[in-house]
Amino acid sequence: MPSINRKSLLVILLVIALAAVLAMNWEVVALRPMLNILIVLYSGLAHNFGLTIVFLTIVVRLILLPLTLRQIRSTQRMQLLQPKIQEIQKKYAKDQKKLQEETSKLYSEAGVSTWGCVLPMAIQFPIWIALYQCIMRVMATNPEDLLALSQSLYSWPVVQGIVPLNQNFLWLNLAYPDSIFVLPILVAVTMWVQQKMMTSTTADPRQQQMNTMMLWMMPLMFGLFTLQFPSGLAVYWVTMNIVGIITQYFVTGWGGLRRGVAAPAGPKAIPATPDPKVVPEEAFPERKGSVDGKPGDKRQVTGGGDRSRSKKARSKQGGGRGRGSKKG
Amino acid sequence: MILLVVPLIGCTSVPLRGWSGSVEAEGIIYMGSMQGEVLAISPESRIVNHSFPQETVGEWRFVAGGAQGGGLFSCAAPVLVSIYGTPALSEGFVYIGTSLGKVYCLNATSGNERWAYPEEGSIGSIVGSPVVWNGIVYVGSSDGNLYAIDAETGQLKAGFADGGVFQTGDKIWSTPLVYDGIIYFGSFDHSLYAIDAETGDPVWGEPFETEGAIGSTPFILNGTVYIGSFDNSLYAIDAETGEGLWSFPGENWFWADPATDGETIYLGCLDGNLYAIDAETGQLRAGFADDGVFQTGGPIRSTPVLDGEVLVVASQDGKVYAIDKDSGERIWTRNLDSPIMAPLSLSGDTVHVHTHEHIIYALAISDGMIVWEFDTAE
Repeated sequence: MPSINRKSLLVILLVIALAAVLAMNWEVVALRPMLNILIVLYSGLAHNFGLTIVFLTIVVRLILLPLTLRQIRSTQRMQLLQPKIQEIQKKYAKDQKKLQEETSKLYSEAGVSTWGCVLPMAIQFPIWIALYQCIMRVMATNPEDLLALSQSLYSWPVVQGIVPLNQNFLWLNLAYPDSIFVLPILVAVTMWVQQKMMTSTTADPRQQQMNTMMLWMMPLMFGLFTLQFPSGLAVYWVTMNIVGIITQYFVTGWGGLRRGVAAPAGPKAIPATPDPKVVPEEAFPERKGSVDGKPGDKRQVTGGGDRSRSKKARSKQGGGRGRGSKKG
Repeated sequence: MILLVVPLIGCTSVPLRGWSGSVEAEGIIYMGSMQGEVLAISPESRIVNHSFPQETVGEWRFVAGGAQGGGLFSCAAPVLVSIYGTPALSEGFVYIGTSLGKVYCLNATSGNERWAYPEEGSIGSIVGSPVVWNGIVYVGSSDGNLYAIDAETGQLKAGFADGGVFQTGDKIWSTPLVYDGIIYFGSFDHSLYAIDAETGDPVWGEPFETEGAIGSTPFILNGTVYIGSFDNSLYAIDAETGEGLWSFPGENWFWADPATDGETIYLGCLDGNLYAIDAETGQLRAGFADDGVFQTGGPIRSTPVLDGEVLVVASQDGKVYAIDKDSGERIWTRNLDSPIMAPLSLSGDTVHVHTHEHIIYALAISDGMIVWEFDTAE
């Protein structure tokens, strides 16, 4: 656990205070404003609720982009330090105090803070929940939900007469699951792609196993949710995922996705692969020249990109890093 | 993990229960329960708290359909059968619609099913009550259709509109009103329709348009049709021509049905106010409560009832209020500690209140004391 400097502590306290305020007045502070904004947008977007969900999701993601970028970059820096961390863990396995000191020192020298990953996520989280909940609430399909919705509307004329909303979008009734199963597939595929881009390799077999499980479990689970949930929610998830993929691409490139497709499964576990755009390799001079799945291996860093590699080679790689890492 | 939590906490759908009112005939009360059942209740048995149903005194229970899947985390709506409408009684039969889109005709004495429409499958969810007129059952559905069903056979009435079905542009949650051979009903497509009850032909050139969806039941008084809308307004419309006469603005939707003494309209609003409105002019009655407005602590979806000089109204704040109809002064208040959305109904010197905690109370109109109560979930 890295040490917390004063600035971080202040931010943490601020976030806790904000969370407490939100928890106490969730309805008033978060849900109602977003719900009414959603309805105003619906009014301006030709009464197309599907388009409104897409638009608002994109807008919110753009507003939160600085936080998202910060989170991605912090996560990436953390990943880059994994080999060093593992070295330290090995070295000081029997001395917890020293282990903690050295780890903190390493983080400090590299200018990395675990809070840099957690805080942006913590700040974004309530906003996503609010957006999610207000989509569910606005789609009120039964009398009880509609009655509850009537109490969440502001007295603005634009929102008063417009509810209930028109829920038809493309082939969908947004209040009901997609009957032709296109959305469940889209949700699962886009989520898998995003997860794959985000996942890094690690030498820790347990961590690697966890990553692999998450890579498959999450898309499958959300695909299953989509079979049962209102399709308006699935539109929200697909939009979230697509914007997430685009954001991730501009920060890290194809990341794990490219590695998963092109890189060979090395005999050893592949440590975290740095992103040259974010943290220069020069920051880790000891990696240079390493080969065969070790950090700094050009093929690993760039993802290889050898599209001429045979199908057989790709199939050998199978589930991507997952299989390779198990060997490690 | 965070993403896994999202669907769990995000399912904010309120559990469906329904809000059926009750209707009384020959000493038996008929109502829909919040468990998707139609009940025939004898007040005498409930006073002495006998086990339910006491078949010897005419009590019965009819289970209307069943669960419709529900899916993961019960987020897919609708989940269980719910009954929102009040049963309609005619010629010894009870007619009721369910949220799963079935209309049932039951023998009022035995509770046996006479027919169900449709026999197989379902139409859209039914929220309003059915009405029976001249051997025809009229019921609106969430599929946007008004169905005319032969009360004898349970088949669609040939000769009415398009094969017994009149189509609108959106859900029909409004209970139709049949008056003088004309059916008046509202739709979520913002329109109030007036159609011939025999043929289904429109009576007005164009339906009357409001700025919001219509979920309430129209009522008619002295040649004027009144309808509340989700655009926060109550409208008065010439029944013959369909021309708007006046509108009255509330501060939230009008979803409740009104009570009237022939001069004043007492109408609850989801803004928590009960308005006393002059039926002729659309103005608030100055001598009633606070300049024509009686405030409760919650939205009013329940229909008030008028018994002589006493007006009884219930609110989602869980309270039942008895008010002097002229002065608006409070006579008594009974706190039942449970939201009330179901319409109230009169039975002799008691008023029946169906709370959202599935209990039906009979309150004495004189002082609000509980005469009997019955948990319909028992």
